[in-house]
Amino acid sequence: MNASTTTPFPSSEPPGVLVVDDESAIRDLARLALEAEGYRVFDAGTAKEAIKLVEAFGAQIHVVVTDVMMPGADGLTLARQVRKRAPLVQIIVVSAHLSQDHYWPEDLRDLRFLPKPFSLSALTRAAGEAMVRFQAKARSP
Amino acid sequence: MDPHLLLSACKLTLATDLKVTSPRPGFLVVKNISARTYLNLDDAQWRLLQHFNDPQTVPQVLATAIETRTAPALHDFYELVLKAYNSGLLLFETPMDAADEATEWKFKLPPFFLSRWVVALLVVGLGLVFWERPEPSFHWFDLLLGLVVWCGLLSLSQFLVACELCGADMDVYAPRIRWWPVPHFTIDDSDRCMVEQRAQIAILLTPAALCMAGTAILLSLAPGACLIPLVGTMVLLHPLGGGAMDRLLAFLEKPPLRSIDSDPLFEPNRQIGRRWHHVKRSTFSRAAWIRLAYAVAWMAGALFLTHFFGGWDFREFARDYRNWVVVVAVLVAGPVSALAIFSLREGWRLAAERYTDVYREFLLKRSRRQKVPDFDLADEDRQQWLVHSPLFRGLNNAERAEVASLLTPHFIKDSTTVIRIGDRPESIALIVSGEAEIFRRHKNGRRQLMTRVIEGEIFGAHHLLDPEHPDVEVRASTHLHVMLLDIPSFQRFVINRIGPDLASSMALKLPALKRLSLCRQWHGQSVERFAQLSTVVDFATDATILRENDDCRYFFVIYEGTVRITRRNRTVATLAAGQYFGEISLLQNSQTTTAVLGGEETRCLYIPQRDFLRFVTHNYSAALELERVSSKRLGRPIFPLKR
Repeated sequence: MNASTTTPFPSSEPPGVLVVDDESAIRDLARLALEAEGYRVFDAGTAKEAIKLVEAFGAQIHVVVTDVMMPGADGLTLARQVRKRAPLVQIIVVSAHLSQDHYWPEDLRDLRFLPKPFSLSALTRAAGEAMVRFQAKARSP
Repeated sequence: MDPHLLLSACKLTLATDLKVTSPRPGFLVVKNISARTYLNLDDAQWRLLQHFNDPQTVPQVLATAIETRTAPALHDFYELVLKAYNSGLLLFETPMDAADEATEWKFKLPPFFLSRWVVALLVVGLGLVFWERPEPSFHWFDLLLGLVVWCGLLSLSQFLVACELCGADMDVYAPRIRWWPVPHFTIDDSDRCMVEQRAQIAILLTPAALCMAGTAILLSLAPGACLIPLVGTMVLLHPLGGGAMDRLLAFLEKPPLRSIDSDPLFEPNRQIGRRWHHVKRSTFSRAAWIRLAYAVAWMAGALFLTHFFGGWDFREFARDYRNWVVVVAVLVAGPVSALAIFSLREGWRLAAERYTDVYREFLLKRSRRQKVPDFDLADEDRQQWLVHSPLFRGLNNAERAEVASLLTPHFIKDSTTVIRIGDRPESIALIVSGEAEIFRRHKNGRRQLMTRVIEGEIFGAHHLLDPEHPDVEVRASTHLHVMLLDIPSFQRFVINRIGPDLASSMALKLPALKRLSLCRQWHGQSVERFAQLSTVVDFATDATILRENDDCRYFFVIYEGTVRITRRNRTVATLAAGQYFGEISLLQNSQTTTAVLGGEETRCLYIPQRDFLRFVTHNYSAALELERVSSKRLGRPIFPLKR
């Protein structure tokens, strides 16, 4: 678990994306791609670490990109826990096992899904859309 | 593990350290030895679980079962998988935590040999107790003697049960001294459920029979000391759930109760309708009436014995009818209160499920009625609407900002015809608020509703995306707030980027599929994928879409018009736009039982069998919906299949 900085970001700081995946190579690639787009990237290898980051840097994280199958708690459980703590945060689920064809529980049907393997441009595009959604949600009364 | 993931994406494997026995014909008990968990199954369920010998996902197993025509009722199938996972029979990555190991028990007694003696002992003991007419004493010495005898009898009976289990080649767990309610030796006899039925009867009755016989002997030797053994034995024979007699009477259940028949884990099985099915089965069975008769007999026996315990005259009690009113009231009030609490809880849950959507729809309709002719949206809001629309989802940030700047807000009053037949609009409209209806006009001049479009969807692109059928009429069914995008920009940013096929799927097929009852519970991206996989096909009037007793390789959704379902040249049903057909043959992997003929200017979306089955097996909500509709159409449950 590590973050680009350990101090809370001022409001003028770039938007934050938390990448959660048990494969470090994917985390590193995602970090490179998202940082190139100007996002501040946090990463975690497990759902437990991710929750700790959300609790510590809640206001600085706007989008969570999470894998589904991870050791310990799965990505769907993490999505629910993140929503409880930070309802505005937009969640993108990536998975090689789960697909659009699958049944999605009602409370998670509005999550954006990205099938694995994904291109880095697809990831940055999805993050950009999620950021627009976050802003819209934050503005709505 | 999230149950949705378990039922759709996880590769499960059958545990290796399993022990399988068959206590009754056609009925199996499977034990995970290390975790010490048990599952009651029938033969078909066990065959199904054996598909997981190699790591498989639940959709893969269901697809195999459909292909081999061995698919079970789907509610039962999903319940079985969840129960098997919870009891450690099916594993995902890691095995369950190991429980305590079995004790090496040196003494063996054959339970088959003992069964007759145990029953005889119980009957004789019971007869002697009632014949002797107990007159217990409350003197401290008699009570102490009774307690000592009772502890001895209980411990001896548990010792015998352990010997019987060992004699039946089963394991004995956790032999220990238990201090509550009286100090005695005890064991964990969980393995009892795995032995043959007659042996189980012997094991279940051993404690009660031994205690009853011991009490009878005590009555003749020291009548005053019989109070505690007698009360204890009556408690051992109690008729409530979980007791030895309740387990014994469960053998009368036909067919035997399987693990999936109680305490549902699968969410749809917890709904009141499904629960009622099981409650009805267990309430109106022969076993239930015998249980009730036993409970009455036990109460009569208890009252009879109480009569002899001095101080309380049963005959005097029985003479006053008001006492009976109180007894009946207490007996009725318990179940009625439990039923009332259960109904209230389920009713509340049902209402919350059903009426939340109705309330949301009401709020949406009310917001649509609000008339704001001059409206505009900030750039961020325009971008938000573009993000919500699947047509514009592929745009990068710069392109999205450019499209947002090109959008023009526009207000349309309700009941206005926005596009007439023959019109070629100069811009497409992205709906921000409101609802529009799209009609097609037939050759005979009749107007037919094709679909409705709502927030986030577009209209005005039919002539671009469906050039063979460009003429539609669009009417605002509520006040409409739309954002207009000129056709050249739409061509540039949407059609040229994602191609006309995908654009057609997202703009035309998607709104129609979203309103399909089958797709209502799906993720938005699932419906988009379904739309992409489907192809539109036109049928002439009375054209044969499916023949009777023929192979069906496609699932059809009526996109426009109607179809006629016929059997032996007689029309049995007519289906309209938004309904579907072909699913029964695909689910049964069999030939069609009816023919389907096209109506007037019919257009259907068709999806190949393989893609359809992939959706059905991966999406249990779709599978259950299709099972429900197919069973209704067939007039009998579609699963399990009739051989």
